[in-house]
Amino acid sequence: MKGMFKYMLFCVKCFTLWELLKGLFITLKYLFKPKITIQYPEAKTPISDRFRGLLALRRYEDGSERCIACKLCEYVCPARAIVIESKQSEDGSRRTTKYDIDMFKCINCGLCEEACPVDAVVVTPVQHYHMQERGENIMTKEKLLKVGDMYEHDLQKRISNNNGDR
Amino acid sequence: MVKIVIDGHELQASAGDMIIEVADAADIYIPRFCYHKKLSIAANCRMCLVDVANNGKSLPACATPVVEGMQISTKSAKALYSQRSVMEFLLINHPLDCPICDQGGECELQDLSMGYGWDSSKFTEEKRVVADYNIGPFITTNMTRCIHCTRCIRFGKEIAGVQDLGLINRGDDVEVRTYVDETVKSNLSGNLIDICPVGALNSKPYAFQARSWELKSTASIAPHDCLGANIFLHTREQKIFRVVSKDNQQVNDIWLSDRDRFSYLGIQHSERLPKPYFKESNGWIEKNWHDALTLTSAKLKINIDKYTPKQVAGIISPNSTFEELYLFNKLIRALGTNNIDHRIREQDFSDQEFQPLSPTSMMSADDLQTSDGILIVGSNIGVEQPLLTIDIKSAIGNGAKIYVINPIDHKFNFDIAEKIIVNSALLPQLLAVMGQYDGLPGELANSIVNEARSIFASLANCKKVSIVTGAHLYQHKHASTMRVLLIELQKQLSAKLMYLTQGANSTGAWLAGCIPHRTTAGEIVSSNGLSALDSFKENLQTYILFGIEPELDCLYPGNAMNALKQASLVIVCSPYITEQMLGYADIVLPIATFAETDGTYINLFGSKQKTSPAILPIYDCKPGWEVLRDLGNSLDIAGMEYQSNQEVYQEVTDVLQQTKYSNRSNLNKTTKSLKFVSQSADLNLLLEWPENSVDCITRRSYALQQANTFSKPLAYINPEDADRLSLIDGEQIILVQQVCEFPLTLSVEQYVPKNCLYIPLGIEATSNLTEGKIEIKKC
Ligand code: SF4
Ligand code: SF4
Ligand code: SF4
Ligand code: FES
Repeated sequence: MKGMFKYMLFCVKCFTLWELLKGLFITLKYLFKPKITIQYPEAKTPISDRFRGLLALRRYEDGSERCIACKLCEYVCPARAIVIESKQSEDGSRRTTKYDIDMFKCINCGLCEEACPVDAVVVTPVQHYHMQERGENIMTKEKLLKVGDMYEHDLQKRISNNNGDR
Repeated sequence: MVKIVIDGHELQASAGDMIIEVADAADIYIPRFCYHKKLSIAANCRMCLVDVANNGKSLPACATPVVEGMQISTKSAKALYSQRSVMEFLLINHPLDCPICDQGGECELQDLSMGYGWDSSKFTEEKRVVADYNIGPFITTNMTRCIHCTRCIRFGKEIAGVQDLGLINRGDDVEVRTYVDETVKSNLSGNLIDICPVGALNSKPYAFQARSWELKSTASIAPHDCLGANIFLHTREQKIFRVVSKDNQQVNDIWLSDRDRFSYLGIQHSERLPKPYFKESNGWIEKNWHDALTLTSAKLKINIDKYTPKQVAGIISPNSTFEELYLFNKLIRALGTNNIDHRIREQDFSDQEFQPLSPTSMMSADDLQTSDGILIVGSNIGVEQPLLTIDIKSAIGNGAKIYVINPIDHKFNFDIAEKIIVNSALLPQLLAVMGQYDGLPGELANSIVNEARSIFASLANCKKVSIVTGAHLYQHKHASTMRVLLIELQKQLSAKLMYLTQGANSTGAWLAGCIPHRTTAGEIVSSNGLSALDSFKENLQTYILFGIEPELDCLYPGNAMNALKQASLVIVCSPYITEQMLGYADIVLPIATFAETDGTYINLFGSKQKTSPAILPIYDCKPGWEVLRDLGNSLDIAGMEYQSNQEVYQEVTDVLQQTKYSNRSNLNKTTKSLKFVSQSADLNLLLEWPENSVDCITRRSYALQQANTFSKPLAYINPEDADRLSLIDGEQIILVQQVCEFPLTLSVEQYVPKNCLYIPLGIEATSNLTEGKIEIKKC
C-alpha cells in the first residue's frame, strides 16, 4: 500500500516538472532581492581580522626592531620560507643580520606569527602584492620592516581584536 | 652487592653506590641539576628527589646510598610532587630568557621544566637580577640565569685545579662569581660552557650566532697537540659555528682544552689563500689549479736539473694527516733526495738511528691515572697537554706523588711533592745523577744532588711509576743524551715512559717516513738526508714546505728565513698567506685545514683517529693529500694515482703491516758516548712556544690570542742575573746575535733559574732568532 502511494507521487512530480519549478522559484526569489556588485578594484569586500596576507616585521614604539633573532619562526615555518642569520649587535643585544622570507615558498599559514614571542613577525591584511622581477619574491629585513611601518596602525588594531583568541 | 627495586625493576648494585648511579646504569632517568658523573656530589638542587618506601620524606637520589631491599619509586605521585615543587622554586628567580638565550634548545632547565614542572607559576613578586661579569674572551656570563648548582665551582676545584669561581653571600643574595680577578685563568675553562646546565655560562665567540637545532655535527679530531682530543664540529651552510667535546674515555674523556675548543675561529680567517699564487717578474698573480700544477712541476724539474736533487729539502708540519705525511714522503723521495723532516722544533738528532719505529708512549691515559709516582721531566705539561693534567689530578686523588724536574719553575694546577729547577744546560747531568750514572762533570750543587737522590729513592718505593717528558726535552741541545738517560732511569724504576711529542701527528710522521734517515715503516735509506735544522743551515736551492710558517713554527726561525730567502725555488703548501711568505716563497698552493678534509691522526698513545670533513674546502683550496697527489702526477711519479684518501691510508697501513722493524728501542747502545755540556758563563737560551700559538690555525683564532699567555715580546731573566748585568725590570733591551738584533722588554722573574734567558718563540718579535750566541745590550 505504502509503496504504491510513493510510486504515484513520483509519477505526479515527473509529469508536472515539480523539481524544475522548485528551482525556478529560487530564481524568482532572488529577482526581487536587493543586488550587491563590488566594483573591484575600486571597491573591496571587507576581510576578517584574521586574514593572513603579506608578512611584515614590527618595531617597538621607540623605533627599535622587535625581532630578537630567536629563530623560532624559522623553525616552525612548514614551507621553510624564512632564513635568519644573527649576531651580537653593538649594544650587546641579540639581533638578526639577515631576515629573509621567500614569498614564493610562504603559504601564508601564519605559524610564524604564532611562534614569535615578541610579536615581531606578523601577517598583515595586505592581499594584493606582486613581483615583477626575479628575486623580488625574497622579502628582506628592510622590506619587511617597511611593510610593518606602513601598516603598524592596522596591525595594532588587528592584534588587539584577535587577542582574546590567542 | 645489594638488591634494590627501582620502579618495579629488580637491580643489583654495590653497596655505597648512590641511587642515581644505579638508576643511570639501568637507564631509568631521574631529573638532576647539580649531580654530574665526573664531579663530586653536592646535593644542593634537590631536583633528584625520589620516593623511598618507609621514608617519610622524599630523598635526593644523588646523595642517598643504596641499602639492601630498598624500594624506590621515581614516578610515584609523591616523587613527582616533590620534583614539581622543587622545579617551581628553581624557576622563581629564573628569567623568561629562552628566546635570547644561547642555551635554548639544549638547556637542562628547559627540558626538565617541560618534563617535571607545573604548567604555570604562582610567583607574582619581583624577580631578582644579578650583575654579569666579563670573565675573559671565552665565556659570557648571565648570572641572573644561574640556579646555583655549583657545578662550575666544583669543576674549578676538582678538574681545572684553579678555583676561579665561587659562591658569595647567602640566601637571596647568593651569587656565583670570580673571587679575586675578573677573568678565569684556567686553560680548561671552556668546559664550563658544557657543564653549566643553564644559560648562565655560555660561549662568547658563539654568542647569538645560531641555534643548537640547526647545526650539523661532524665528528673530528683537534690536531693541535699530541693527544688529539675528540671533537664535534658544529656547522651550518659551510660555516663552522662551534666545537664541542666528543666523549672518548681513552683520550679526552668529556673534556676539551680551550685551544681545541676555540681554534676553529682561525679556520675561516681573512688570511686564507683563495687560489694558487705565483711570483712572476711583474708581481704575484693568481692561477687556476691546472696551470699551477704544471708550472710548479716544470719549475721543480728545471731546478732539480740545474742543481742536484740533493739541493731539495721537504719540510712538513707534524700536524699534517697521516695520509699527507705518507704522500709527502713518497713525493720527496721520488725527487731523489732524503732531505725530509717534520721535526721542526728539535736540534739534536744524534740518536736518531737508535730510536724506535715511532715515539709512541709505552702507556695509556689509564696508566697515568693509576700510577702512584709520576716524574715530569722537562715539560710544561699544563700548557702542552692541558687535558693530561686532569689524569694527573685523578692520580693524585688516588694517592700519587708528583715529582718535577724542569729548567724553569712552571706553575702547575696540581700539587707537587718535590721539584728540582736547574738551568737547562744541567738537565742531562741531573738525570744522570738520578740514574746513578757516573763519569760526570761535577757541576751540580750538592744540595741538588741530594734532592735528586731523594726523589729517586721515593720513586723507587712506588709500585707504578710513570715518567712524562715534553718540549723542554725535545728542544734541548742534548736531547739524545737525555733520552738515553731517561731510558736508563725508566729501567731502574721499572717505570713507563710517556713522550709528549711535538705536534699532533709525530707518531704518524715517523711511521710514514717523514724523517731523513728512514722511510715508510722504518725502512733504512741508503744515505741519511738532512734534518730540518741542518737543511736550513746548509742553504739549499729548493725548499718544499707543507703546512708550516717557518718564521713562527721552527726552532731557530732566523736560520730558516735566511735559507729560504737565498733559495732559488720555495714551494709552500699552506692554508694561509702572510706578508713574510710573500717575501720568501715563489709558489704558494692553498691547502685545506683539518675541518675541510678527511684524514688520520695518530696520537701519543698510538691510537689512529679519523676526521671527516665538516665543510667543503673554502674558496679554491684543495685538501693537502689531493695537492700532493696531483703534484706527484704532474711530475710523472709512479703509483700516485689515488682516487681517495682511503686508498692512501690502505696503502700505508699495508706497508706498515709488512714491516720487520721492531718497535723496541735500541737507545741504550749509545750509552757509551754520552755528551754533557757544561753550564757556560753566558746566558743559556730557553725557548718555549706560547700555548695558543702552536700552529697556523691557533695563531689566527682571535679569542685564543686574547687569552694567550707568554706571547708578549718579553725576555725573562733571574733577579741575580739582572743585578749582575745591572738591568731592571721593564727595561727595553736589545738581544744581539751575529747578524740580527731584536728589541724586547725585560722581565725579571724569580721562577727563571740562574744564567737563563727565557724567551717566547712563535711571535713576530723573535722570528729572526738564529742558532748561536746571544748577548743582551742595553737600549
Ligand atoms: S606564514 Fe607560514 S609559510 Fe609563511 S613564513 Fe610564516 S610560517 Fe612560513
Ligand atoms: S621574528 Fe619573532 S620568532 Fe622570528 S626570530 Fe624574530 S623574534 Fe624570533
Ligand atoms: S653558573 Fe651554571 S654551573 Fe655555575 S652554579 Fe650557576 S647554574 Fe650552576
Ligand atoms: S641532583 Fe641530587 S640534589 Fe641536585
